[in-house]
Order: sequence, then C-alpha cells, then structure tokens
Amino acid sequence: MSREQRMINGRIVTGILLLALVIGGSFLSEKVARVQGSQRGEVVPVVQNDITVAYLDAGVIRQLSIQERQLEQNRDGSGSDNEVSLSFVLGSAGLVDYEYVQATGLGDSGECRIKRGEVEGIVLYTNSNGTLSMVNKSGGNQVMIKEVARLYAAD
Amino acid sequence: MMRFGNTGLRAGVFMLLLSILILVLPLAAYGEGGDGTGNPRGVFKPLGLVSATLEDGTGIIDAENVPLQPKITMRFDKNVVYLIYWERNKRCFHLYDEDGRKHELILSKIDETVDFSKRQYIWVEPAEPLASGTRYTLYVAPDLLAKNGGSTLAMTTNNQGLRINFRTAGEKTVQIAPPVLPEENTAAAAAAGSKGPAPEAKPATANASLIASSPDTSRPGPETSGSPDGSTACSSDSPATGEPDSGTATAQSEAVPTVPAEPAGADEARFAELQRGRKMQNYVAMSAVILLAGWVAVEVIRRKK
Repeated sequence: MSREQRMINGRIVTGILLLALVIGGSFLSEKVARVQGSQRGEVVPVVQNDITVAYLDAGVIRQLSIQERQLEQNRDGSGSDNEVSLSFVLGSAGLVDYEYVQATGLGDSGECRIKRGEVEGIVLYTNSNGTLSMVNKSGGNQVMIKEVARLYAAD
Repeated sequence: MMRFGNTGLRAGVFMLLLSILILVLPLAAYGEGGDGTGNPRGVFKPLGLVSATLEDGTGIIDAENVPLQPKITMRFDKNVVYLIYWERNKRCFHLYDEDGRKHELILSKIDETVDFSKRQYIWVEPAEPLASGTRYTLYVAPDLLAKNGGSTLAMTTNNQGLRINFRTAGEKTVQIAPPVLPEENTAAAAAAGSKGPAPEAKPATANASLIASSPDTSRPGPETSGSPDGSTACSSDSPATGEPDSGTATAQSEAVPTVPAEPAGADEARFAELQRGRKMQNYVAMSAVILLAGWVAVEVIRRKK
C-alpha cells in the first residue's frame, strides 16, 4: 500500500470519526441542555404516568399562545403572546385522559394539584428569565406557582 | 516541502468545511415554528394520507363489517403530531353517519419527543360505540397541517379534504319505540317529523387513553395537599399526603370539539419571522453545499493532475 493510499484511508477514517463525534456531541449537548433547562425551570416536562409526553419552554408557550388565539377568536381576546391556557397546553401535549394535574414549582416554590374541571381559568405565563409561571386568571390573577418545574398528569 | 504545504492546505480546508458543517447542523435541526424546506408561498411538499387501517391492519377505506368501536390508525406522510399544531389538527377530524349526524371522536398521538417513529400517526376512535349496519364517513378537513407549517391536506385533496367511508358490522336496527322527549320539546319534535331528536352528545367514556401512556399502574402516586371540597389545592411548603378524590373527579370528554375548524388567518409577525428564518436557513445551506461542491471539485482536479 503506497503512502498516498494510506493517507487517503487515514483521512476517510478521520472523517468518519469526526462525523460520529459531531453526531454524538449533538445528542449529548441536547441532553445536557434539557437537564440544565429542567433544573433552571426553562424546560418544563409534561409527564403522564411517569412518561414524559412533551417539553415546554417559553418559545413553545408563545407559539401555543398564538395558536390558541387564532383558534379561539371568539373568546374575550384579552390574552397576550406570553400566556396560554393550561387546558390548551395539556391538549396540545396530547393528554386525553387524566384526572388531575399536579404542577411542581422550582425548588421549594410550591406545588398545586388541579382537578380536570378546574383547569379552565388557569394560564401559563412566560417570565422574563425564560421560566413559566402558573397564574389563576379566574382567581384575580393569583400567581399559583412562580416558576413551574414540572407538570404531572395522573388518571 | 511542497507536499507538506499541500497537506496543510487541505487540512485547513477540511477543518473549515467541518466548522461550517458543525454550524449548519444545529441550525438545520433548530426548526422553530416547524421550519422545513420551502416557504409559505406554496413551495411546501403536499401532505397526504398513506393509510387508514384498523387495529388488525385491514384497511378501513370503503370497508364493510367494521367493528362498532373501531380504533383507526391514520398514517400520513409527514409529521402531523407537532405540539404546536395538535389542537388545530384535532379539529380537522369529524365523523358523520349516513343521516349526517355528527359523532364525537377521540384522537390520540404519540409525541415525537417520545417516539419519533410515530410522528406521522394519528389514532381515531369514536367516543361512543357506533350503530351496527350503518354507513359512516370519517372526514378530515383540508386544513390538517404538517409540522413544517405549510404542508396541508388541501394540497393532495384538491382542497376538498379526505372522506373515508365505511360500514359497521351487523344489521341495522330500526328504532320502533319513540324516543323520550322533554315535555316542552314534544310539540316541536312532532312537528319536525318522524326523524326524532338529534342524539345527545354524551360525554366520552374514560376509556380513551393516550397511546404513549403505559398501562403500568405501579406508578408512584404524587402526594399533594388536597382540599376537602375538591377545589384546586396548592401548597407552598411540604406537601401533605392525600389521594385524589375519585368520587368527585369526573373524567370529562377530551373529544374533538364539534365546531368545525375555521381556517385561521396567518399571523403577520409570525409569518415574517418564519420567512426570515427559512431564508437564512436556505442561504446557509446553499453556502455549505457550494463550499462542499467546490472542495470536491478541487480534490478531483488535484487527483487528475
């Protein structure tokens, strides 16, 4: 095998290794970002029966807000880009059958259990630091959880 | 010396290209707002139905002897379960019987973050058992939207939507006994003829479950404080134990709303933002492709020399 052939082979192997590294690195960075985001409250997992069915962040909430306002134009129309109703979020996450939703706050910032029939007046609101807060609009905009860390739906 | 110089140059070009690729890959994978190829001016690839089958794998299109509680698996050729568009897409599914009466549906999906291979599947089942020996039409509105935000079912159905006809098993039962009517409606119903009142939309049964959900019941029950009157329970300190009040909690229907979907107008700001993102992606991708092509060409020319 000539020197040139060896060089070419070496380059091919190097290229494949680099590609594998890039792909592996991408997966790793995604996982790290997800874990760190969850710890900071910037990524909120929606869990049903111990299976994560969706992840929420401020960007998702903003897009869901736009969708909700487009679909429900006949409502009061008082919503903003930064808030979306909890029922719409849960529906978008594909939660079909649940009895109650338990929202857990970041650290010791509390937790709430909301029964299915009580979900309507509650909204998720994006904070300026990229976290989400849970607000009871029908209860005079009372902040239920300042920084939501997890939504758990149980049946 | 010359050889070293060439090798160094090639290594440099290789590293440059690699850096560009590393930059391009996350950008391509970013996809906020369901960015895909094309732009909102109609260059999107059309969204189409691949198959509609029952649980046993048989096709349901024009099928006879369909079970009274069918679970229809609809497979499309694009991602139709995207979180952002799911509520919109849910409103595209309607079930009508041969008399034109609407029946509630329960739709379920497996989110792409849970199982990426199921992103093209939607499971449809009626909220209540169907009548035997009756023809039904499952209508999917042309507004069904793929994750890329531009591919709709209208593109493959000539803006007509999709109609799947099937007939349930058994013989059609004729209702002999007149239905019980509310007293105040009796006169009006009698005047309306022999068709009888429209069937009441009962709440869906609680048998609808998310497909992604595990049937495992051994999950740990979350412990929270519960209020005795069943109102929303919040706690800001350590939670107290309490089981959910299954007596007062009623499983409500998550069935598709009966209001047909209205084509929503595009939000201008979002539209512009999407367009900017797509343009930038296209530019970066084109630059990367040109660079790659140039590199390949240089290599080929060098080898020929």
